[in-house]
Amino acid sequence: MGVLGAASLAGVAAAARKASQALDESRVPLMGMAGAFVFAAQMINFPVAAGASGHLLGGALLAITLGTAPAAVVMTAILAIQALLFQDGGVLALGANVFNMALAGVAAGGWAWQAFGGPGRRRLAAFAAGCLSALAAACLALAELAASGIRIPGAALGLALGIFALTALLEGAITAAVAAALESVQPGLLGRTHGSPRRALSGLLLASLLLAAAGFLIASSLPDGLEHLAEAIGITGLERAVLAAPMPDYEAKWLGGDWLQKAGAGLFGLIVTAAVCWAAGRWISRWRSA
Amino acid sequence: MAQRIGGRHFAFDEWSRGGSWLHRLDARWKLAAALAALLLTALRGEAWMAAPLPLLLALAARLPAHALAWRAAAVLPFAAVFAGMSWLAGDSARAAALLWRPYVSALWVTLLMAATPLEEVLAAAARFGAPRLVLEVMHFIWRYLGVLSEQAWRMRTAAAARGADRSFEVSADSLAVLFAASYQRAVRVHRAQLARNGGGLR
Repeated sequence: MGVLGAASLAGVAAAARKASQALDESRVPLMGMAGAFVFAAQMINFPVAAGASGHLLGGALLAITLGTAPAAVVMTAILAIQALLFQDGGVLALGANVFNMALAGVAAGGWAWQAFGGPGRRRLAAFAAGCLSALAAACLALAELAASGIRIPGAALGLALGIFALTALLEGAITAAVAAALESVQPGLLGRTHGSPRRALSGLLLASLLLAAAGFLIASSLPDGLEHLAEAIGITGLERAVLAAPMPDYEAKWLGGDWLQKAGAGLFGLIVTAAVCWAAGRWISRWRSA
Repeated sequence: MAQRIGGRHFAFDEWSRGGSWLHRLDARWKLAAALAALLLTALRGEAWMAAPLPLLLALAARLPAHALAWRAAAVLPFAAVFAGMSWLAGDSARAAALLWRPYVSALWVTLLMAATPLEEVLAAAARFGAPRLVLEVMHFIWRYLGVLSEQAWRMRTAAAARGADRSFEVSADSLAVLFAASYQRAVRVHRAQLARNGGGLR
C-alpha cells in the first residue's frame, strides 16, 4: 500500500502541475464547484431494474467536461474530503483510492472520450468513458486487495466481478445520459475530442498491458480463487484446451523466477494475440477495399 | 445510498471553532502529530492500545468524545466486509487488524478535524509542500458542498412531487441542470473574487 501511496503522490503532483499550467485563475472555482457537484450528485438516484438504484460516480464526467489532468485533481480533492471529513474510505486507504479512482479511473475515462469521441459518436464515447473509468478503478482495487494478501473466496470474487460489470454499465449509461442532456442544456461544456484511431490503438495497447499485469498479480496470489471462478463459469475445460496447449501450465520455462515466468508467458501471449489481431485487421481492410 | 448531506455532516465546522488549548495549538504541530499517529497505526501491531488516547484528548479539549467515536465508526461497514472474508478464511488476526486499523486511524483524523478548522489544516498542509491546487479545490468543495447538496435535494423533492422520481431521463436532466448551474455559479464566484482583488476564498 505504501508503494501505491508514493505512486499516487507523484501522479497527483504531476496532474496538479499539468492542470495549473493549462489553467487561468478562473478555472479554480470551476474545479471546486465541479467537485461539490459530484458530492451533490450522489443524492440523485438513477433507477435500475427491480427497485435497485445507483448514482453517478463522476470520474468520467469530470474528465469529459474539465479535461483529464484537472479532473484528476478534482477527484483527488473529493477523495481527500471524504476521508478527512466524512470518514468515508479511510485515510490509510487514501493513497490506493487516489491511485484507483482519481488517477487510473479518470485517465481511462479521459482516454476513452478522446479515442472514441469523433463527430456523431459522442454518446458512445461518453458511455465508454463511464464504463472504462468505473471498471479500471474497480479491477485495480480488487487486484490490490488480492496483492495485500486478503483471501477472497472464489464465489465472492465472481460476485464482485459481476457487480463491477453492472456498476460499470450503469456508470456508462449515466455518464452518456448526463453528457447528452448537458449538450442540450448548455452546449459547449463538453470537452472537444479528436477521435484519433492511432491514439486509440496506443491507449488500448497500454490498457491491455496494465490489465495483463494486474491479472497476473491476481493469478499469482489467488490461484484457487481464479480456478473456482473458471469452474463456476465452466471454462476450465476450454482453458486447458486453449491455453495449456501452446504453453504447458502457462509458464515459459526458460525465464527465471516464478512471477517473472508467468508475467513473461502472459506478455508473450499478449504480443502473439496482438500480432494475430493486427494481421487479421489488415487482411479484413484489404479484403473490404478490394 | 442517497442520504441527505446536511446539518450533521457539517458538525466539524462547529467543533473546530472551539477555544480550548488543543484548538489554540499551531495547526502545523497538530497535523504533524496526526500524521505520526497515522503512521504508527499503519505500521505497528500494538497501536490499537492507543485507541483511548484520541478520545481522552477530545475530552480534555471539551469536544464531544462520544460523537467523535460514533463518526469514526463510519469507516467500519466497508472494512467489515473484508474482515469477514478474512475471518471466514481462518485468518482471524488479519480480520481484527482490518477492523481496528481503519477505526483507530479515523479516530485520529476526527480529532484533528474537530480541533482544527479546515482552512488551517489546508494551510499547514501547504506549508508541508502539498500541491496548492488540490488544497484550494478541497477548500472550494467544502465551502459549496452544502449549497449544491441543498439544490440537488430540492430537485429530488420536486421530481418526487411530479411523480417523476423513478425516471432515468429525469435524473439525467436534473444532473445536467445541476452541473450547468454550478458552472454558472463558479463564473459568478470568480467575478466576485476579481472584484475583491483576487485572494482566494476569504
